Amino acid sequence: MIAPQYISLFGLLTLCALLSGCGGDVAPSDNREEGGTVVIALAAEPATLLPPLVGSDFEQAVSEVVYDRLADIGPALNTVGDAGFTPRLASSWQWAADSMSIAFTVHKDARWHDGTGVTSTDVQRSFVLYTDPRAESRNAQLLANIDSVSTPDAQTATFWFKRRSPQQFYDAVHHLFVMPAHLLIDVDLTQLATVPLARAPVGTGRFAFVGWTSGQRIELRSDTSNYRGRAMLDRVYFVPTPDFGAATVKLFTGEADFFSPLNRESLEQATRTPSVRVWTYPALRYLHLAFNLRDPANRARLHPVLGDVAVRRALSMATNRERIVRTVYDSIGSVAIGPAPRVFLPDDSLLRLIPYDVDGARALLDSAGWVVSSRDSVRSRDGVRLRFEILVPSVSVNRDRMAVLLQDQLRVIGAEVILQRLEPKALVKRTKNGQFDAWMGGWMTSPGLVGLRQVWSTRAIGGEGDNTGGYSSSTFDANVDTVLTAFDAILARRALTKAMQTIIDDAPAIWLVEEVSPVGMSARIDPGVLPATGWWHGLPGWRIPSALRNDRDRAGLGTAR
Amino acid sequence: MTGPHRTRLSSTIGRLLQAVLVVWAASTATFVLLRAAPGDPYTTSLDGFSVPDSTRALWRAQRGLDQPLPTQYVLWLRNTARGDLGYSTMFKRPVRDVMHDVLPRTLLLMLLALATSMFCGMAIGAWQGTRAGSTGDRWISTLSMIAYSLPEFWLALLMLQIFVQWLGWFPATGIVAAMHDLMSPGEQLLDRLRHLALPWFTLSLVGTALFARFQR
Repeated sequence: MIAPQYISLFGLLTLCALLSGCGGDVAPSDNREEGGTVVIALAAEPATLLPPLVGSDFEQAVSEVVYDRLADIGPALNTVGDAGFTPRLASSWQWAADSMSIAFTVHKDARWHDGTGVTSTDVQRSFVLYTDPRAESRNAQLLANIDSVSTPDAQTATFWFKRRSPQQFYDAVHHLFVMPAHLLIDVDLTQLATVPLARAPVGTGRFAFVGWTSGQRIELRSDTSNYRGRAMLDRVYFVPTPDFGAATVKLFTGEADFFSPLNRESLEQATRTPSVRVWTYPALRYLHLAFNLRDPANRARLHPVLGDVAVRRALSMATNRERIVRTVYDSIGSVAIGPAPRVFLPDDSLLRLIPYDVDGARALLDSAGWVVSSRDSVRSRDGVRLRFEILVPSVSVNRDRMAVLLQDQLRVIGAEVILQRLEPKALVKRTKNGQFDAWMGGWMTSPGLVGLRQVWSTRAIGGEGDNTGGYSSSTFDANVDTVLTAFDAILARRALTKAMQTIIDDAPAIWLVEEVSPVGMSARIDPGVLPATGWWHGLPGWRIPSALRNDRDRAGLGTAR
Repeated sequence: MTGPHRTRLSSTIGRLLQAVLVVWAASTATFVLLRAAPGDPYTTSLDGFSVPDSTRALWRAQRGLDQPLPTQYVLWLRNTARGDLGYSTMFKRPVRDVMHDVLPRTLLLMLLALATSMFCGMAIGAWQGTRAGSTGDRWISTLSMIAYSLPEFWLALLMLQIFVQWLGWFPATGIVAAMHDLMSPGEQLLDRLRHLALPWFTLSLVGTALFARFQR
């Protein structure tokens, strides 16, 4: 005799089995060149998809495949003039004779995903949304050299610049994604984040937005009538997860086809998982130990310890950066050269780096008067001990590990280092006010070298600048100005080498690591080359060979039931 | 109104007032503690381009963060009383919309887990009660004691490790699969059950142990 509860369970299972058979299509064979579905795991859910408001890379990943720029930067990441740029929403452009304006012609076939044609008004309106301070866009600063955008006719958008600059074309096209003006009429800019477009984007990219189920998925589908041709994949799902661990589990169990970036631990698992392949691309990010050269108690004075260039150089010499990078990053990082990733340096072999030389570091400190007494293993000079505090953001495991290794390595030459772990906002408040000795800093760059001025120039000290350590060198400043203003590529290259050598010699920081971004991807996907500007920029070109397609890929472009 | 009814009514009103007081105290403490922490939503980020201080000041003014703390508190209290829970700078949406998205799923899971816990717990407890002192009773008491003592988050991690990571039977997160909309109705039902199974089972296990002990 079967118990009633087993009968109920059997009934439920039978019902499920019957229902699962209802309406289910047999997957058709698929020999098309285009096709396939990719599920991308995100370590968090985007808050918005509106280009001026996106901040994190997982927001950019979705937003920047739906929207287009006027032109895309080339693989060499050249930012001088328009060399290497590829036309996108702009089919062509014309420089004014005095280079103070550039007129872009909007592609005549470009249409928004809702079918409306793209006009120059869209470009103009987008510029306003990016730059009006009420809109709360953190990208407005990047467009600061553009005075205005005018629209002489429906297809022409003219950018007017405040001053001539080698990067003015790059400024106009790289930081600005064009949005549909007809869906942004009468928008209250103080409430821009709440417009429908923020969660239901209408763009011109080769993928069109389909839907966003909060906490579940964002669906994009190939725009088959796109002016640049359809994407190779049929559809892409972005699946937000609550944390990094859950995202990697999705990748390794096959629920997701892609996740970026893998950390060191998940990288090891990825290499052991046959269905997953690991790809890497430069992250355009460096981490460093930034010194405060000014006295926290009185910013007019030099820091009693770190204001001395001999001390800073000795600390650099005592740091085995290779060991730190291998220990913390293994193969997903390389020793940083200076305040710019290698990809932006035309020839880094011309630079003389501070060598790892512990004996040399000791000798340098001895000669500068920092000596060890019989009672104390920590060096001192005129009663001032060689002691300083490093602020470490509590959320960054890698920075914490590096700080611990630094503490250990610097103790060998008689420096006492205290680690102070702080929540990011508390840390930023301390560094902004100059209330620190040193901190484990980092800088995320975009193509171009404007970050050199933004973080290390004299004009960036205090107020709204990011030169929290107070480094000041007229030689560095002058050469960075040349780098950012010279139209002569050879002159700019020479100036960059001089600027880099100057700051390396002055050692206002110990440049530690340039990160590499490893991504885990299903072995059935062929992504071609992952662009340094972000893996997602190559997404429309990803292919899944028909022989490797699974049921998910064979769903085609069909719509929801 | 008779005596017992009046007593019950005044007791209910008293409890409601206490609940309001607790909610007010907890939310006020949260409000104060959040503002006592360094920085605010518009403090600069750790790495990357800074926004001018003047622009940050404008943003703070737009959200009322430039007002004195008592003024902010009164505004917040007034808006909350009207059902306006404010704007989340993290989600870049009104808080009400964020809750609107997550609340139905939370309620579905909690109600399922509660109903299962009550049903199974009472059944098990009643069964134990009719066989008090038997070997089966002692075994179930021990097992329910263990289940009751397990922290739910730990049990959830264990379940994830076994059933997701090692066996791959269930999905790691989410309430439906990415391609849920393309499935047949039957597949959709199974898909939803697969996603519900682990959290439902984990929450129900602890709840069942609790109800079983009380029932017995």
